[in-house]
Amino acid sequence: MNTAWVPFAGVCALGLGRALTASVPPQPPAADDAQRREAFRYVASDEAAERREAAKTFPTDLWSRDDDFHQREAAKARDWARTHHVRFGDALSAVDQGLRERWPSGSPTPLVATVPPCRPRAIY
Amino acid sequence: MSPARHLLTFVGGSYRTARYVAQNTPLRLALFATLALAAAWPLLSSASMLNEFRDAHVLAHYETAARDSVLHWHQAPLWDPYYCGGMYLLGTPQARFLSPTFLFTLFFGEARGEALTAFAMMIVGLEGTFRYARDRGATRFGALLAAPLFALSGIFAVSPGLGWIGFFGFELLPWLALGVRRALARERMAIVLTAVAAAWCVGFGGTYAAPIAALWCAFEVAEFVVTRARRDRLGLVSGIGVAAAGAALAMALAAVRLWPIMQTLADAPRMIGGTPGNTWPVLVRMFFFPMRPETDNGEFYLGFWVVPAALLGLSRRRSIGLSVAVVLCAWLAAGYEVRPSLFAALRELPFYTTLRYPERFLIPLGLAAATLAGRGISLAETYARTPHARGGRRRFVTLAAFTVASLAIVIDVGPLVAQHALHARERWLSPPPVAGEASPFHQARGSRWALEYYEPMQRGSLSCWEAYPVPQSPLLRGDLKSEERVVEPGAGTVTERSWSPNAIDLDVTLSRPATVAVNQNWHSGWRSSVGEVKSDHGLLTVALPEGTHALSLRFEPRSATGGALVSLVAAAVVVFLGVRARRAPRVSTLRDGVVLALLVATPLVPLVAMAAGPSQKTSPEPPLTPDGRPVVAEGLDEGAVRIDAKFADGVVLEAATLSNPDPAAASDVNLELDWRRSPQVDPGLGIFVHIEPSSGTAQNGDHILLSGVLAPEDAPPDKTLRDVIPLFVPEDARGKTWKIWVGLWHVRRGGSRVRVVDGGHAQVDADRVLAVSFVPR
Repeated sequence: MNTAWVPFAGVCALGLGRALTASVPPQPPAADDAQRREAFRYVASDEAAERREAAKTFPTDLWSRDDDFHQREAAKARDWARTHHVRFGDALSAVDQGLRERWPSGSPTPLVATVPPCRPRAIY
Repeated sequence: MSPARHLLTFVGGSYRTARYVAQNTPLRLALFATLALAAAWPLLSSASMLNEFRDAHVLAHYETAARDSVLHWHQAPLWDPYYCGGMYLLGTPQARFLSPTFLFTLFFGEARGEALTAFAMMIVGLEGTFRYARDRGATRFGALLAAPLFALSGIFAVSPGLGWIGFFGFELLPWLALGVRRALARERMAIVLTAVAAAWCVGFGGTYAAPIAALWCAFEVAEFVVTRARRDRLGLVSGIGVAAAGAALAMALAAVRLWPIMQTLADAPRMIGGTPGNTWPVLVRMFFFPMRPETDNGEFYLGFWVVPAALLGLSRRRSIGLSVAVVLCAWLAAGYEVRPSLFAALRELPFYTTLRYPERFLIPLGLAAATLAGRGISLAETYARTPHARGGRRRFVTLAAFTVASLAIVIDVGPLVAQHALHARERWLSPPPVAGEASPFHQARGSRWALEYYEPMQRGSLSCWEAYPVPQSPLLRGDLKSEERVVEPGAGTVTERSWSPNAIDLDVTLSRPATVAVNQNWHSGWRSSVGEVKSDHGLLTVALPEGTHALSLRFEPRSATGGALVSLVAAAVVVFLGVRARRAPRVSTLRDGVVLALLVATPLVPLVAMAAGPSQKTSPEPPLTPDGRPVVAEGLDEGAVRIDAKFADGVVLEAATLSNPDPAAASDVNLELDWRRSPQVDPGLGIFVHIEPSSGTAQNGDHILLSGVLAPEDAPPDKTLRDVIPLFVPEDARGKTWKIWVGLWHVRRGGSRVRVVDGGHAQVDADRVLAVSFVPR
């Protein structure tokens, strides 16, 4: 290679090296089965109330209501994972598993397994 | 030596060094790479982390899904089963994987690839701006100073934090502009440059970079026409011809992305309403002020430091074109705040109706301002170096202007780089998701707010957000034990033999003809080895005869195959032109022009061959209301409450009916508005719905699509058009009188209301009709 390009290659290599050596912080431990069931119950028990709140925020838009609910649900799952020092992904996985395997949720109404089709708001 | 003398010596030495670096390409690129490294360092240092911003989840997911398709499933990234119940990945406008930077993602993963992409694209932008400024008449020194102004400007600092990596497509804008300028000068290599830059820009995704770049190219052509119209007619025509060849080749090279995107947007048009605008003070703060949290300040930062050099640049007569570009960009960026609104006019054009944020025109304004600054520095530099200016007061003034303007830009590099660190620090980062144990794919209810966590679990997220209405079946479920089933009870069994994004193999045994349903969205690109692929309310199903079948489903959309073929042929033409350009740099004779035209027309062969095949239905089913009825009906349903209000644009509100005329508080009801349109209807009509309780907060249900699926201008005339609006009546509504007022408005043309000509059976107030009134129990 022409030595004139060495400085350029060197800087690019430095950038590449920095990206590749960026460290991953230690992950919290994986949740065990009991914790997963607890996570599911914590997140799912409030589903009816959370959906009601979302409906108040978006009274005329089914997709927006559902989207708002999912934001609340994700926040609850994140909150639970943080306070129990387990992975956030495990809390989300527990919600999926609980819904599929019909774990007891503590919700007064049946959990909803469908979503309204994506209809992004055209006007903000 | 006095300190002043030392300073002058230092400044003079720095200037000579900068000039040397500017004219030496490897050293110049090393300098640009160092600047990009400084700006991208915070991103590179946290490249292992997951950006938790909501948009970042979705946009990063497309890249992850494409990587997974290639590395894990050894397939082309065509279909994404992990999001929205399945979507056309190659046709997703915001996906960016059809770009050379996808190699970073492939080799190093999405998160590290994202940081490296930002770093690499800034280098691309720096060199592009340098070359563009040079072509616009800047000296090497002037162009060197101009480069960071655009390529490190605010948008490139803001977008990584939001996950909007697609905005780095704007770093290709100077290359594309340069390509068009040189093509207008009939340079053969410029055709290659235009085609490659445009195809890269399109492949990089996003809904702003490519359309705005196309406008800039149109501006370059217009400027060329204005400056050449009188003196060189032949050069004018041939230049435009060569530039048109570049544009055609660019379209062909980008066909592998353009065709699928056009199919997606034809299937599910993106509708944007509203009349967004920005006041001048807001635009000034976005462009000149440093970043400040919780404000728009610095979103498109170039800084006040650019002003002296840009003002010097304006003083050149040859800068008129750039000055006009500055004015046009600022006018566009103001949106509807300035009347007449150029932005409103632009939204009348095809492909530009979906632009939502006018302030993004500050990005091309950044390029114009940077180039002007480069030219300003060059003017002063050239004048100071001219012999007649070397002496006396004029020399002092020129040198002073040159020094002040240059130093201001050098100083500006500090805040330009620093803002990248400031925005990077604002990000919400988490450790990346951990891949779970290998498990079969299932659709989950999911959450688009945490989308990046689902694919590593082999789960799809039905929870979906996109900027366009993704065709999504309401029958998708997130709690199924098996993703495939026989719809008719007792008709047989289905077992999954193998599964991958683009290919599903099933063993099916049926005692009678039946339907197999797959828990994914239907798309016209799905093919089956036996039976017929059908859509059941948007769900992917296959109608099969009785017997035992080895059913293979494959996702093979014609737009992907056809687009890839066209792009391949175009790539061969690009290579040929590139090689030929070394021997014959310019298109100089009529024969050259004819050969060029023939070459550029070559990609039409596969295009015509593919387009001549059997037509594919865009949507096999009529649009449905949220409660499952066809939107288009022959007449009113029994029990509909007639209104018969006539609007000025030939639209009639035939009826307005509540699904429950006596709704309770804390319950859901549907309000059905039945419209009828005449054959001539104004495009861009929207429906406004004002929900006004006798006390408390009013709500609105303004929308553009009837029942969320059909635009009024796309609906057939002289039919009843059902517009069903869900309405939640809250607990505190009990005992209050609720009035729902309805009307029509022009969603793009200034937002004015359509006049009510005749209120029919309803009360009218300020061009709105009282549709229903009720008191919740």
